[in-house]
Amino acid sequence: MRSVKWTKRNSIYLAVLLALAAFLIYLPIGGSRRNINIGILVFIYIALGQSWNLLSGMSGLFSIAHALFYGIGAYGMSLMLARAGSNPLVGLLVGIGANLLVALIVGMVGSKLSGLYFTMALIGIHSIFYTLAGQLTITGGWLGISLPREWQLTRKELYIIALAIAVFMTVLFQVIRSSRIGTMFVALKENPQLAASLGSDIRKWRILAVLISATMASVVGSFYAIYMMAHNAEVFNGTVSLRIMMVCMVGGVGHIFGPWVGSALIIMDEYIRGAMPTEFASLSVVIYALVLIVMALLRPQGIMGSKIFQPKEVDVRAIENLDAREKTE
Amino acid sequence: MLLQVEDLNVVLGGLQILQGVSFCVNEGELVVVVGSNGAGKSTTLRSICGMNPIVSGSVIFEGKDITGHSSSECAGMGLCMVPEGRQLFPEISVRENLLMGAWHYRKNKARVMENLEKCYDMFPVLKKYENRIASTFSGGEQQMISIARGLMSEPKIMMIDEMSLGLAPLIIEQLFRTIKDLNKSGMSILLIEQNARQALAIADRAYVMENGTVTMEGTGQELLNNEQVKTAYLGF
Repeated sequence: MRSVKWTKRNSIYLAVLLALAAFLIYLPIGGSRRNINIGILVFIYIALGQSWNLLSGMSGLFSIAHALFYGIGAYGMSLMLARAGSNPLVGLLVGIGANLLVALIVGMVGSKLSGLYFTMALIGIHSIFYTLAGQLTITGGWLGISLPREWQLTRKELYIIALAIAVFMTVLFQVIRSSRIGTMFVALKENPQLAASLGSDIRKWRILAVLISATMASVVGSFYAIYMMAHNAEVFNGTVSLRIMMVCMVGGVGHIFGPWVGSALIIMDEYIRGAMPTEFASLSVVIYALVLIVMALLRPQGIMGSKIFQPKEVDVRAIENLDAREKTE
Repeated sequence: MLLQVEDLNVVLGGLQILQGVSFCVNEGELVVVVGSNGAGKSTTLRSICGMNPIVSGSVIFEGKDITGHSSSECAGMGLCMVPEGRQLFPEISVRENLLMGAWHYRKNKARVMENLEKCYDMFPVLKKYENRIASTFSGGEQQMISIARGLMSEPKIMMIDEMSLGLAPLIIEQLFRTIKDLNKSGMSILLIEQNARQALAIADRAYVMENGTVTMEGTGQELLNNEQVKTAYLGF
């Protein structure tokens, strides 16, 4: 449909991608256990970032409690494996199924309400799940739930799966963005009333956006459960939501590589936390706040949202002048 | 009669904006509604398209009562509105903006492409830059995109709100010519304008609105020569 011209910029992109790919392949072979773990964490947040990017960056429904979908995915997996004794595929599907149900409710609320009210409704639904997961016996309460050892994978396997999920989510984001669904999602963000007046049922599309985003987050959550082999209600913690938002905002909201760039934050956070004395470790959230303030002041559009990385705009006047010259000649 | 509005009353935020507005548009006609700021012209349009709640009165389109239909239902029936101030989706490409107009028959790809080509024929500049995002275009070009997007919906009637707002005189002239050509090809058009002189000059029939009611009607020429209209809207 669209022709892309090969430019110098594309070569730079390609070079960066190749370097990145080389590094990503080196890490599981030559990297230390700690670095592999950080790598997996980064991929988890890239994938979650794409999920958030789709809902909030593309469709404009601001999800402040994205850990909701992530946590449900994690519990879907852990409950199925630990309590029902089934296999990971069932766990994954149960997580997605539960997420679709919740997303349907959130979406129905979201299509009625917008802006701040949607955000508040989401916080409400999120706290229900957070509290339930912490109180119920089946979820193991705050002590958590551990998975049967038979499903334990090696670090390298986990690393490859995490990388695959991150790449898959990124590709999925781009496929949706360049499809008509993506056009509709952007239209929803930019001018919902206008979209309605052109004949689309914006309610249905908002629900669809939440459904897709929740499914994406659910897959990551299920992976997290397998990766950690044990987790508690903290998967619903607000810090997770905050991190997801930060990764996107620092990288560039709505930009496909935003989460990839923004996830450098996770690396930074992990190393700083490792270097700090234990009693100060929880202060790493202060770093997030500082980064957020600096970003808001210097580059509110995010790193990838900057002018340098945006597709080059054609200089309208130059073209018009050219046209005029062609005519006169 | 294609579109008939009868005794429309609309209250917004506790203020009665429209007080018994009645007018009609026949098949193939170019009808202009002129009036000063705050006369209720845009509100009338928005109410027809289901974007404002109607207190009383009726909107009849092709013999069917469509009062109180939602705006998305109206779009599927062939009522097309080109909103005031262009209103594009700024961050998506021209092509995507136009395809949004073809929303209600999007499954029929051949039909969509055929209409897209027609729009590009009418506004060649859009074809040339079809992959550029909409916000990078000039005001006049954005208005073209907005009109083209309206045409993509295969309307039976096009309702254009304040087409000339904030545009250069030369571009306004060009757009009015386009509208007249469209009308000649059989499209029914309801045009709402503050630019009374040019609008009345191309109109088959016209209405003057004041304070939420229709105060005068006649052919475009009649109103152009009317003393009251001359002093109030044409400035001589």
